[in-house]
Amino acid sequence: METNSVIPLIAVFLPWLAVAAIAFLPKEEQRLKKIVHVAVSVAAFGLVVSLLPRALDGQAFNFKLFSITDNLRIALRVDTLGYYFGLLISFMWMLATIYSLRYVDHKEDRYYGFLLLVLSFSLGAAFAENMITYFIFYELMTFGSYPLIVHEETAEARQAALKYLVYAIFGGSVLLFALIAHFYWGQNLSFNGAGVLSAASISRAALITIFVAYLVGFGVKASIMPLHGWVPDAHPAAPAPASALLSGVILKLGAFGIIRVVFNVFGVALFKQLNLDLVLAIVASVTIILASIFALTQDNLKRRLAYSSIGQVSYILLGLGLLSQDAALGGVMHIAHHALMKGCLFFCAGIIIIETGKRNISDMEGIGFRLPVTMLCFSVAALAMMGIPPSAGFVTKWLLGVGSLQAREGFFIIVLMISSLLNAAYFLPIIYTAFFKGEKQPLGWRGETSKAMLWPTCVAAFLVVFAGIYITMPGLPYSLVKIVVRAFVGG
Amino acid sequence: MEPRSSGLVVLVLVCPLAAAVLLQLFGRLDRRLCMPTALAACLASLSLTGVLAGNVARGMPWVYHPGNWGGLGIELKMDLLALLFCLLIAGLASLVLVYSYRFIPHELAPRETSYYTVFLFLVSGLLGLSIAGDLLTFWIFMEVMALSAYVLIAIIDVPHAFESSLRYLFMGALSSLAILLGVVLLYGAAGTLNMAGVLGVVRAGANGQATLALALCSVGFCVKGAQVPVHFWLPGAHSAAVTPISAMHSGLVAKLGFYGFARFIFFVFGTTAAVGVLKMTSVLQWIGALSILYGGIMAILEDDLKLMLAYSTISHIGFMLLGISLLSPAGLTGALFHLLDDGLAKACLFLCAGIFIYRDGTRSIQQLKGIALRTPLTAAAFTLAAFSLVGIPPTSGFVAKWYLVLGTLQARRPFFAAVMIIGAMLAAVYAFRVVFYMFFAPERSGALQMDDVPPAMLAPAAILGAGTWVLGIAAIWILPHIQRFVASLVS
Repeated sequence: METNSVIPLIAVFLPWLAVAAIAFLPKEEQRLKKIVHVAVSVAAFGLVVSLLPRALDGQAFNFKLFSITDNLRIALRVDTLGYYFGLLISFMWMLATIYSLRYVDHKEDRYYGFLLLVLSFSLGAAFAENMITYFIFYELMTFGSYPLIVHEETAEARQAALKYLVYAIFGGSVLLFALIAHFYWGQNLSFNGAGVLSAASISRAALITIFVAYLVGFGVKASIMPLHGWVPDAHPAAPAPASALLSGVILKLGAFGIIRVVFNVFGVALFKQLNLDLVLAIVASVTIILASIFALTQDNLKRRLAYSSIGQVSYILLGLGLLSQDAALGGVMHIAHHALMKGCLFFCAGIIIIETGKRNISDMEGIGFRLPVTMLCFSVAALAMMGIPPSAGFVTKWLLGVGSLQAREGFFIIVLMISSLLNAAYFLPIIYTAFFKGEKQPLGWRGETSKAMLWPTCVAAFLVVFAGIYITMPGLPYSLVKIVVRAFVGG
Repeated sequence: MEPRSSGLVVLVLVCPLAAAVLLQLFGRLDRRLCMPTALAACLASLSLTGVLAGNVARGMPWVYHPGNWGGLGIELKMDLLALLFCLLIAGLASLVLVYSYRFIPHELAPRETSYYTVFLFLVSGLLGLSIAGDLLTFWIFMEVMALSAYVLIAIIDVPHAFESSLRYLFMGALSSLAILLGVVLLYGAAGTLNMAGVLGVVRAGANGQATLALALCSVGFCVKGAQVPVHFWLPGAHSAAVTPISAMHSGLVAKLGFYGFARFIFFVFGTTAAVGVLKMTSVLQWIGALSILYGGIMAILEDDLKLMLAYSTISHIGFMLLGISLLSPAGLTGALFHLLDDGLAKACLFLCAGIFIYRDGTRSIQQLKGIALRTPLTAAAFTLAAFSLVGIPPTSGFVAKWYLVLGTLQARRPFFAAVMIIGAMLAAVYAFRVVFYMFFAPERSGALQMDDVPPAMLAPAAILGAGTWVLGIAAIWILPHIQRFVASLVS
């Protein structure tokens, strides 16, 4: 079902209000500006939520902006997949904006301006009707994120942001080539349909060229090894809420692009026929294992979390590579589940930095007593990352495991198991250090940290568990992703 | 469609010419009147071109046959190629004149009148060569333009400038001579100077004379467009000139190399001759590709901002040359669009460089560190244009790059797609390096203050910077006309 709706467009451009507030409100009105920022992020989330009932019916919302030629147009079309991602983006952004209120204390205008601009661009990408619209928003998002990463302006942050930029420009260039090759051979960039390329009219070599170029182009954002170099530097350098969004959303925009390529550009049948699914699964597996091993060796908490993200984003790609019904379900659901878990973990890391100034795990002995709620949330999210039930992490790992059997590629279960073991090996020591090392102190329940930081953390932690119990509740990932998978993979 | 005759065509070119004569006669009476007179002339040309634009865009060129030259075939002709270049010339010249109003007294006080007079000759030369419908008119106005260009570089009182101007004069004279010989040979072979007439004869059967003419003209235009290996005159000339003139040179004068090729390949020799004889287009492809890479690499190594931009000009003319010599519809569309967008972007960047020179007396990129705190608007304009230079969506540079790369695929030369993408990456390195220094370098100190430069200098730079983005959006209205025109040239 298709309806025309202007709501997605409003949601995409609403964040510009915050930029207007920064530009036109006087400098002293910091408080008022912050109210505007939070209101804008809440309103964007509200707008997206307002489409939920119709999205659950499988409706798609159209809004055409303008067309260059018949098959080259800038348009929004919120199908269920895009809606699912947009819902996640706006939700995570709301949490991060509220969290930032206490975390960010200098250059606020620049920070919030770009924070909300990137929200606008990310939503635009999620709601894009075709690859060129996606690409435009994606590139704007890429460059808009730069000031967020460089925000602290330490030498380290500057280095990290520069590295980010170099990787991003490389990825963007390859992506542009992929896009043009896609347009040249396929003549249709639309996401509207299950596969616009066909083996009948395009040579095998051309199809593989297009896919590899897309994989490399998006792979820089999705941090496929060896294109992941910027991730472990950018995460520790950025402010915690920005790191949460980097891991939770921005990395996913790369993975989301690959999902679009598989589902909408190639189509599942052609993708399998070219044996590209196996390529993707192997690339993802290698990344999962190596990233987990690298994570073990990191003492800086945010760096360890960053390596963990590199591995976790590849879960999404693994699900896509296995491409059985449950594997695809698990992979696509992992976008949201991982965003909640990793968002929660980065929020916790931020609270630790603000309250104690500690960044290294080895310094965090007994920190659970000083920050009990925070570390409780951290533990919940960390256990979920390992795949302990009942949690969001368990659900996706379970689906991926079942999915790999469905696909008759049981080998990948071993990858999942090794990865889970490694996850445990790098997360459990943190929990152990926080609660069981060092001197026992009375728990500091009161005045642990400010509410603006604690609440988003708790909400994320709560959802991690909630999504693991009430899996099928409407509005949670499963309800939306199952529509997507039914449409593209079947079953 | 049948061309229509109108005297307005000749007026486009008479306006600046008459104003130049007026200034030469009366300019010394009141120096403050020079700029407004010159500006009025350029605006008049611009609006006349605008009046003519409607019909040209619909595919009906305007012609005018001055005097009674009989069989020689002297003709002025405004087709879409000429129209695009004329709009760019008159528009850029007007903005540069506004900019000169405050800049020139600062650097060239005693020679202000001469400056504006020669400037107008330069503009009329450019306009004349672009609307020339025969070889002689083309060559004469090319010389008017070239002589003015030499003078405008030597006009500044530094020994370095004189030397650069001499080198430019030497190379320019050689190339003009080569082109003149080519013109003479063509006249000998065809018995007419009219481009359409020559085209008919060459098509009927290319002989040795036409082949030699083609070779001579190619060498000539390669020099004019500063392509590797005859590029060496350009960096010195562009960086030695007073900055508004650098902007004119980079935005317009050097583009003559491209414009000449476009004119001669399609309107004088015809594509069959250009492809068949001498394999000229394949040679040009390699020259373009080499220039893209050479210019890009040299620009990265350069610390002098104006020299960096000069090398970037070599690189971008390489893009156009490569685009046109592919002889594919998309490549040609991209090259023509790139003529516009690079004109805007390069002029903007040079004007910004001029503001830095005016304000801080520095041309070193290293010394621009943190300048965004002192000249935020200039830095913002620079950044806008830098995005277009790199080709980030949705700027006009992106539109051009899109069609250029698409053109390489259409011509089945994917290797050149890689060259272009690498060229764009090099552009990202040299352009964003400056942006990075301006906004995020650690050497920033002091509070933010608004630019303390005259608005007459700031406004043109800002208009051009914003123009690169507006043109990117407006491309949807401009491109269909260009594509229709291109379709009439190549099938």
